[in-house]
Amino acid sequence: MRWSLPILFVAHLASPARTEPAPASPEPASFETVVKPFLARNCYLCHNDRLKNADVDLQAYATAASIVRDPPTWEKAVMKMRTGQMPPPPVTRPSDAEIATITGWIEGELERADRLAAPDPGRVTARRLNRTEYNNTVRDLLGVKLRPADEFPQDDSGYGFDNVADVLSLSPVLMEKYMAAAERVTRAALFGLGDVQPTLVRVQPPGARIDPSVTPLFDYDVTGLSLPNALHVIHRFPVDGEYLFRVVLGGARPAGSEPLQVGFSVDGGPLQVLALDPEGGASFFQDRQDFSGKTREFRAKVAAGEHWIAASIVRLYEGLPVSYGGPNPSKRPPPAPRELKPGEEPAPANAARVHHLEIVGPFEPVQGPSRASLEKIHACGHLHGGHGPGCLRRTVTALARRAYRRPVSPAEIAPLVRLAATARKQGDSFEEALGLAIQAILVSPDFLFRIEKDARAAGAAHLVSPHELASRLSYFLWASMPDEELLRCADLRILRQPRVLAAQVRRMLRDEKAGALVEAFGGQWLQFRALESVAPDRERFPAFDNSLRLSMRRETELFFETIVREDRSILDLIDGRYTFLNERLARHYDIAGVRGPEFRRVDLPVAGRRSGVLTQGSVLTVSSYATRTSPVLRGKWILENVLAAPPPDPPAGTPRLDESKISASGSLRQQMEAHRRNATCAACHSKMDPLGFGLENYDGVGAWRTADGKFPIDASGSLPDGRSFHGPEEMKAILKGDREAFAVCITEKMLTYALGRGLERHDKRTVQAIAQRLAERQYRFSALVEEIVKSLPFQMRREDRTKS
Amino acid sequence: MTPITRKHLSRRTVLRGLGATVALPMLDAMTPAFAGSAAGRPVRLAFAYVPNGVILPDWTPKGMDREFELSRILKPLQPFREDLLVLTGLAHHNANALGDGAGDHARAGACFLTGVHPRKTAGADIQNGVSADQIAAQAVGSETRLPSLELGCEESRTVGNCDSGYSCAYTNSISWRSPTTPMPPETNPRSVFERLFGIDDVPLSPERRARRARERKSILDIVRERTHQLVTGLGPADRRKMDEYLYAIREIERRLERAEAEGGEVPPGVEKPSGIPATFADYVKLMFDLQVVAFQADLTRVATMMFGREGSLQTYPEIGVPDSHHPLTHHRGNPEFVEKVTRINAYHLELFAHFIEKLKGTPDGDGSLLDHAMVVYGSAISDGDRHTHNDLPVLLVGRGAGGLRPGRHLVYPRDTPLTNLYLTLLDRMGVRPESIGDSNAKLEHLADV
Repeated sequence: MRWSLPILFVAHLASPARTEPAPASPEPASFETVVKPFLARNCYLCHNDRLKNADVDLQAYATAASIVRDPPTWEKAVMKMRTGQMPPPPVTRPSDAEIATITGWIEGELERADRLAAPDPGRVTARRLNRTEYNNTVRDLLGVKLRPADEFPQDDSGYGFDNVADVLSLSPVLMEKYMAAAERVTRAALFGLGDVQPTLVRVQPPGARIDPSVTPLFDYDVTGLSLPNALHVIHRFPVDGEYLFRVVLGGARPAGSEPLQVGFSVDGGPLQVLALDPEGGASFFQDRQDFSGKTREFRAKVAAGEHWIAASIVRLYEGLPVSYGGPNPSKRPPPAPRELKPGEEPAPANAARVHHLEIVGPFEPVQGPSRASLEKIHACGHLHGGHGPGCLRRTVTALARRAYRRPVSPAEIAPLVRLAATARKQGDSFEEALGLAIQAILVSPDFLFRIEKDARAAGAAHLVSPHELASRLSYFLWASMPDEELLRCADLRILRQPRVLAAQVRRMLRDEKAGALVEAFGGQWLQFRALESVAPDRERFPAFDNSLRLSMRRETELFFETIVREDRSILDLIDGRYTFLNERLARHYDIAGVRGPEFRRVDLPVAGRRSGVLTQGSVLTVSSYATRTSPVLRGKWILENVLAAPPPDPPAGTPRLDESKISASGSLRQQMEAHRRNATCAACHSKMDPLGFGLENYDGVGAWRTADGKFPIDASGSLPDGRSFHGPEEMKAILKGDREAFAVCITEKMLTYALGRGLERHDKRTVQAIAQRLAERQYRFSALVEEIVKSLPFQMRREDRTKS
Repeated sequence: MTPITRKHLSRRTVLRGLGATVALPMLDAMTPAFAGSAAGRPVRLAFAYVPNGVILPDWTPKGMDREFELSRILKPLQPFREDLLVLTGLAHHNANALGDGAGDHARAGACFLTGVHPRKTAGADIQNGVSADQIAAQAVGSETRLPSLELGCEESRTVGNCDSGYSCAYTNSISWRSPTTPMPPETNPRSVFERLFGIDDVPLSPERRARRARERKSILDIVRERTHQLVTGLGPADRRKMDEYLYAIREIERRLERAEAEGGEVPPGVEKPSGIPATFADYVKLMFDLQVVAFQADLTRVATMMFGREGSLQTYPEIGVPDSHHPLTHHRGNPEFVEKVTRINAYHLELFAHFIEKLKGTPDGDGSLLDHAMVVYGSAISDGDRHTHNDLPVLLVGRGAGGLRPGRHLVYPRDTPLTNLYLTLLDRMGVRPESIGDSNAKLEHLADV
């Protein structure tokens, strides 16, 4: 049953969260006496109904009320005036006080109108399952771990997330893939994967640069896993089974060395080591062993899913010829000394490396359908055949209910049963016939889209149905379909009861499936998903290899996951004094005492250089350019993702920074002073640049530095409101002081993700109410989630105003 | 009586090729009445490339003309002795340095089918020639679904310098559509299958396939019905989303109908590969099988296959050669290394023999595919240790729809251009360019009795 919005609701939600002093609400007379004359003097010259510069006719707004009806135009006018872009010469620029009065009035009027407007839950368009959601849903519906959506075209993003309804389109290409995926998934669920032949996949992530050296080290990572000679990759295995890993090497070693030790491990587990002896083999060189193209094979049993595969050169500096003076030298006869040709270097000690990996498999994969799949499908209980007359209808009904995420009517089931029955008559087995019905379900709009029904009256707001609420909840927290318990709560119409709802949210956050929130929401908000495609310049950042890239991502993932699982305060994101490191990353951060490739929790010292996400490698790298840091990008990152104050785009025609002048004529900081000298630029850059400079001690891949080339780092800054800081720690303290702004920021982001639409003016008060509640509940993560779930736009929906 | 098509040889053509002083036998191909195997069956052209040259003493057969003995490397082709021609003495002059310094592997790969001396550059200004297979494809390709097929069993390298200052583009492909457009080979058998037959996952008999198509249509009908019901209760924004969905459904229905009308069924017994097979032998054989299937179903008539890229570092532990191929070929006379290279060469021939066996065993019109095919096997490097480009190892297998008289070892005058062979083969297909690379005449004696 749907209700129109009762007045009660309005009263509860209309009270503003932040008791910011509302600007003195001027009488409409003020418009006539102050504002309109100002506009006439400064704006109507160009923005009238004849000239209409930039397609804007300000003269058309004759009353205060008309201004309030067009917020976008007037918000833009405020921005242009504040940044000094308008009025442009030759009009004399009005005094700052005048500008402040006018912009203050406009903003005040707009805010007042917002407050008085009826609460509006907004509406989300029919939302197609995105790739992540499709994979997860198929897994939960049929117990199939195949992940067919990995081969679908990329989803488009909007507002920073790939689950925004309006942006997700459905092309014929994608529809074909849905059809093919439906067939594959159904077959896998009912019959297993069939006779899967082992196939070969070649994996070659970009490697780090190795500077060849003839000087062996005595204190180094003997496992080789954190050296640039190693190869690290996260590979997705489609099927449980045994796999063969062919490690293909490259590089060279001095002739007369002992056999090379090649190491291999999965998910940071124990290292398997095999020796490779190239002595006597064909080589282009006489004074060195050539490893190009040579291979060593390892086997391992691997479960379906993503795994971290690593191959390395173990004990790299051991076994070298005696003349190199390294540890544990070779006992083999040294090669005859020879004259080096001009320009030729002696054989390096450290150049043997892993070039690429060939992953072959699965061997002996699990045959037949999994028990999980059979249990999920055969609602009649006959997991292995022996079906009775009612089984088909019963099974199809149960599957459709779960797949469509709501009760289904006999009329809906009828065509599916007919389809299967016809196939039965033509000689298909029960499973094959059932498979057809399942395929039809999997390409049905009820499955592929989350469609919410509307009430009759146009523009009216109403509660979403219990099942629609259940879907919203499960796709928010799990990026997947509601489970049986959630569906039952919806069936029994108790889901909306506060106790039940809170209990479900808590249960869902504890469930393993909440990892989707970390990966999809965290990955996109903190942008660690973008790490896949960054390409730091190899000359300037030779140490940046796949191992570091993957480690950075894992650190931020684990950090965010801890906040979710342990229900910590979201303020930890700004300055939490713990993180997750492995040896590779710890070395990068200069943190001692962390050995081994596994990740473990590390408490960070109070006087240390790292805390929170802003000083994690992932954020620092994605907010840099390939060749250098960018205080502007980092400042912008902070404004957008911490302070909820995203800067507008630069004005058209802004020239790019001349990079060739940097470090020649002045440090990066000095170059950027140009931002401050120009008043128009300063309006935004006086906010962005200092924040970015606060992080200048971290280079383009997040490593600590005290100088940039020949210029010492100056990590101090002062914000427009007068507060100043020296160094990243003080800057973070200021940000933490602005915790209300951060609360608003993360609320906005998460609300966007949860709703699947961009936020509008009418959502402002929801956001502020939630942020206020968050403060009262110690900023706990679960509190944020609960408040969002209880909020107006999450619980309700507005009918489409433009009913055709 | 079948009308004489351009695929028949006219006496005048033969005259041009062989010189007026040679007696002119009545070749099958000239008379439609005799051209039982040629009538209606098109000629197929295939090239197979092996990198890094061969051990010539173990390659070149003893004896000449009909009296010849297959060498150690060529032994795997013994069952097909009467279907092949071993051609000795052919060369690629333009693969030599000619003042450009090092880079023989890149030049060899680029020159093999083009006969052109490629521009030495590692940048974007690559310049080669048009390859023989593409000249053929451009002429006859419109008669088949795919003008040509380029396959390979070694990954392409995408960037930079692959041999002494030559761009990787030169070693990645032997097929070139234009002097600046290489045709990189497809290395994943699954993708090849999908190009040929679409994206069905399982092998289907024709009746099963027809039923599958009907089932798909029924599913689409059901969901379309459902969507029409759904739409009535939706607002305009949601309706637009459903419109996208309906449009997509209609598009698929149209494609299904077209596919049904066109046929293009998968021949029985052919399964869709799931990816690259685990062992090299299975991989190469699978790629060859796909070529056979493509020829059989007349999806294309021109194919090239690269066993590996020039400079290949492939190891062959399965035949006792764990060393990397390229360094091995720089054996400097070391007998152990020479032996290993010979083993690799013979292994390649063994896998190639599988292809020939399949071609011979596949019926095509009145004969077999091999009867209507011309398959060239070879390399543009002869001695891998010294990087020579004359006395190239070249085989020509098949009967070319009567245009060839196989079962002989032909020895040509030193430095006869290999491109002359291509000119002749293309001529058999009715394709007559002025020249190919450095060709100067058609190759004689291929059709002698």
